[in-house]
Amino acid sequence: MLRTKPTKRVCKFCENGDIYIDYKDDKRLMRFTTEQGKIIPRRISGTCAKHQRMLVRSIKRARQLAIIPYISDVLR
Amino acid sequence: MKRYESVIIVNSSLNEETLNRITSRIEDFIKKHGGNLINTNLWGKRRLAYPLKKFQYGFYVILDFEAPSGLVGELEREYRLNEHILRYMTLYKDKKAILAEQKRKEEADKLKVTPELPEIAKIPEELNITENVINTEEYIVSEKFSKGGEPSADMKIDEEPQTTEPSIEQPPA
Repeated sequence: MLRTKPTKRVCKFCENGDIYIDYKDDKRLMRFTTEQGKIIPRRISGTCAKHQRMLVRSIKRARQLAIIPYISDVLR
Repeated sequence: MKRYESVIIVNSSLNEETLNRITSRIEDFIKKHGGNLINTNLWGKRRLAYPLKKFQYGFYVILDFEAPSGLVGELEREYRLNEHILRYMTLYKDKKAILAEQKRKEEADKLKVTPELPEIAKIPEELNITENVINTEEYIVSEKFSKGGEPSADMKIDEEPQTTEPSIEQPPA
């Protein structure tokens, strides 16, 4: 099952021209995590490889510092 | 001399005095061992995403400093010895991170310079809009409870829904 990637959409970070993604920006980072707290894969969010690597690094740092949860409670 | 950033989470149920004492002790430690302290940012009390040592809230302190190579290891030893520090993380700040912080500071300064934004939200008193708003509410209430009411007042209110009707009539025509 393939979910279509937002085609021809530029990576959001490349549009802004960001060189560094800060781990302290929890609002921004939460946009790239699911409700459960998982990181959204690149083929769905449309970010480029370079920024995805920076994003993942900063999300993992923020998780360690309890700024973002590892798992967020989702009622099933 | 490399540039580092250190984030500390301190027990939030302490007094202000003890918090200040802890931060000043760390700052002095950095200065003693040959480091330059550039900035301390007290983020304050925040809710933690998950409980740390059975605490739901933590007090975040962010330190920005330059230090020679051996300092960071000893600094972390100091953190470990202190019971009130729940978690710590020191990071090496590369050029990109430094540039990003400078940009953020500049933007923050720009926001401080323009205090005009909240004034626009205020409605100018000359138009007396607040009075009209209250009056229309009174007329609407009068419609519901008494089918009469002043005809001039009713016309004003009925004008607004009439504008939407012609748009609905067009497709069957």
